[in-house]
Amino acid sequence: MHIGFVVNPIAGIGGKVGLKGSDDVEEALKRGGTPVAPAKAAEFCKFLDANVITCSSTMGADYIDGKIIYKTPKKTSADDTIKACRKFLKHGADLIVFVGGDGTARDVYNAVSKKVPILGIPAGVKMYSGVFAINVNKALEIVNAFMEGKAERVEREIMDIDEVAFRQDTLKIKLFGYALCPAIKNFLQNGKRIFGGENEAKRGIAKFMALICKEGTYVLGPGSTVKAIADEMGIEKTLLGVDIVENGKIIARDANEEEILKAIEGKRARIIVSPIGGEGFIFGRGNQQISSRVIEKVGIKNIIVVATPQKLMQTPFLYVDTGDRSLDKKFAGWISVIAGSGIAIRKRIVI
Amino acid sequence: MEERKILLEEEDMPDKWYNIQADIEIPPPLHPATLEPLKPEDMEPIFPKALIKQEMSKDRWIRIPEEVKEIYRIWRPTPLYRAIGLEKFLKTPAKIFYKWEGVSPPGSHKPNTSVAQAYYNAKEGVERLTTETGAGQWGSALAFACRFFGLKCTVYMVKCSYEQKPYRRILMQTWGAEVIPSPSDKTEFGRKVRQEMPSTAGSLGIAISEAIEDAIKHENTKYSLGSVLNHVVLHQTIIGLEMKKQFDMLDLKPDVICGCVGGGSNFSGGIFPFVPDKMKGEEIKFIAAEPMACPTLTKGIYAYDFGDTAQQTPLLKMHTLGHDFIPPAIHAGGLRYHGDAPLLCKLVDEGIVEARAYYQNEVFEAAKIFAQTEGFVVAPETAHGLKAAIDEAIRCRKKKEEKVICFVNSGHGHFDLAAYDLYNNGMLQDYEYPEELIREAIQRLPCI
Ligand SMILES: Cc1ncc(COP(=O)(O)O)c(C=O)c1O
Repeated sequence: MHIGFVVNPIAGIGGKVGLKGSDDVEEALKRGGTPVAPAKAAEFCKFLDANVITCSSTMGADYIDGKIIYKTPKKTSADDTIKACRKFLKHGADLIVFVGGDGTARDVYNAVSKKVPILGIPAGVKMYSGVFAINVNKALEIVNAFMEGKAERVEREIMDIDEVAFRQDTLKIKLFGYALCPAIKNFLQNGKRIFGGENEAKRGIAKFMALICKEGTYVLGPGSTVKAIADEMGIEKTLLGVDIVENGKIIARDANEEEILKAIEGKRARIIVSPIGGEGFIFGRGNQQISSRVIEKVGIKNIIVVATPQKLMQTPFLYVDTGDRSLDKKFAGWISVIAGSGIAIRKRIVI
Repeated sequence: MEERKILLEEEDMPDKWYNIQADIEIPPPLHPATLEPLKPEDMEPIFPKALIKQEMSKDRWIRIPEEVKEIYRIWRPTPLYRAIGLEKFLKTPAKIFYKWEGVSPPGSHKPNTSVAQAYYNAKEGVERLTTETGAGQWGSALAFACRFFGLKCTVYMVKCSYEQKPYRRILMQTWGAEVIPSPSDKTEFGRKVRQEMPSTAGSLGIAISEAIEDAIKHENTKYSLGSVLNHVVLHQTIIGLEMKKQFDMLDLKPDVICGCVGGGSNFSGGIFPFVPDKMKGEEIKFIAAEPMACPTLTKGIYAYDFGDTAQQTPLLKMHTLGHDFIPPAIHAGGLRYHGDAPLLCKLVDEGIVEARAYYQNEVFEAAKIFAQTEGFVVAPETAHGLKAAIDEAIRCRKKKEEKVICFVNSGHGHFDLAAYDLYNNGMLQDYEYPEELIREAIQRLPCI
């Protein structure tokens, strides 16, 4: 069993000095920023007892004794994370643990996609992705469980800033894909045994919602749960974008806010979205095309949230962040999340 | 000193069951093929004659055979408890009682009928009984009863329970029963379900279909149902009849009786002997408690429907969520049934009984309070009725009313500790029934 370990040495440097990320290292240093990653890496490695493959100096070897298979340059970049992870794969890593934020998560994901599970130790400025352990201790617990074969593999979202939108001066968080992530089985019974597999639950949701979606106009949010509904209807939906379906036919793919508004103009429409696992955002992360204007036009009562029981079990509360606080407030309270065929689970939306 | 438990002597055990069919009339069951009212001989492939007679009888009182009473005496009469600790905790002026059915060997009210059913089957020369079980309570009750009358017993156990509750399976096997996870490959219907839904958690409706198919296809084999039917409910009236005697001993009358409803047998058994009093004008409230995830009485429609998924059973007029509805795998497995006893449904329809639905977490919260104030750890099913009783007691506190509240404490939860573990760790989900979307989905189904 080999664990690939990579540190983004500058992760977290921009946080306290008011930058939205750590991409501009010079500016961050000028403002007196210090990276968060080294301390987290050291804390994690102090208690880790495993067969580790890693990088030299600041990207790994400074914190842990392990086989060095990637040479860290003086000035590191995203490219180094990607290259290091590719090397880990070549050397047969069973799990890759990284220290960083959303940017690092994306780099790791770019290199390994779903080939091996990945786990993040949170040290970044933004951490919207679902691959992070809550803290260093939890990360150690998960890694130990993984090595003992006591962890399961779950799909988790990789989220990061939409750079195109960012350059146009709007902060949009976008869903980039799904990574595999180790998770500890729950107590005496794990979710799988209670509910059957997660795919089974997804199929139940899809079968049920596909019947509903036969008639009317539906704005379908990103993610695999919503996509399964379209699959069931025989419609080809984008995995990561917002598509619009009318009377069983697709009328817009990967639509932006304006396109959505145009498509639903003068119609009674519904929105179907799924929360981000663990995080719990139903609006404002990964689906900002479904803006406050869209939501207001559709009406809160016409929003259908879907998620598997497994995902909901790992998501204590749901959140919304539409950018319009007074609209957000209208969401506060209980919502019935569709979790199977004819099955719902009550969840609380916290504002 | 307040009396904590009110005990009857063995000789005070009732010697007749009360048949409510003498006092209320329900629409007849219909033959699944002809849709004509069912004739006694239609049921003969699956039930013995004596039980068919009870199913259709209008006699008010039916004698309990001596052989049945002899087995009953292992645990009956059961105690009526005053829940002093719970009353104190709730600071309620109400008196709370519970009829404790968890003292039977299988741990619930279910052997009240399984013993009677095994007896009549054995008397008519039947050699093997088949049945289904959800939580494992009914299966273990029948396994226990069959052992005492020398019958073989085959139990189709809903798959998610089979996996979640190995101890119930072991209990049944210890009493000598054969236990099969359902859907199984032993029956045609089971094979069909498995092909269509390979990793389904199973349901009571599916397991019933399998057990009936097994009984029909084999010689000297009959089927036994643990709830819903008139004769089952009849046998359970011993609960309410004993309760009546016990309240008489205290010179009290219950103002409210609560109980959980899966197929309706423990609750009906508890309240039916009190129903004539209410029909004569006495003020007494009956509250049926069910899960939000499977809210048959509160959200179902009152109509003719099949009792099982494969549509083999007669059509019964009852509150139903539809015979193809598969409820989520909540921990009160015994309450995952799409329909309810027609006799009880009739009383709900007439407003004599009111129904309430509860979420899993609030139900377990009630169960934990009970464990910490009264000591007994009750079954998740039972806890629904307990939750209704607690709500009533709190209402009494607010209104300063000294009512007498009683609930049927249908069974212990010693085999349900995994569910308590999840609750204790905040891992239970509040399942519910998305009524409006389900209505929409049904409308859009292609017409058959
Ligand atoms: C302890 C307990 N209570 C109640 C029930 C529900 O059945 P019924 O409504 O027929 O009493 C069950 C069913 O398995 C049970 O095990």
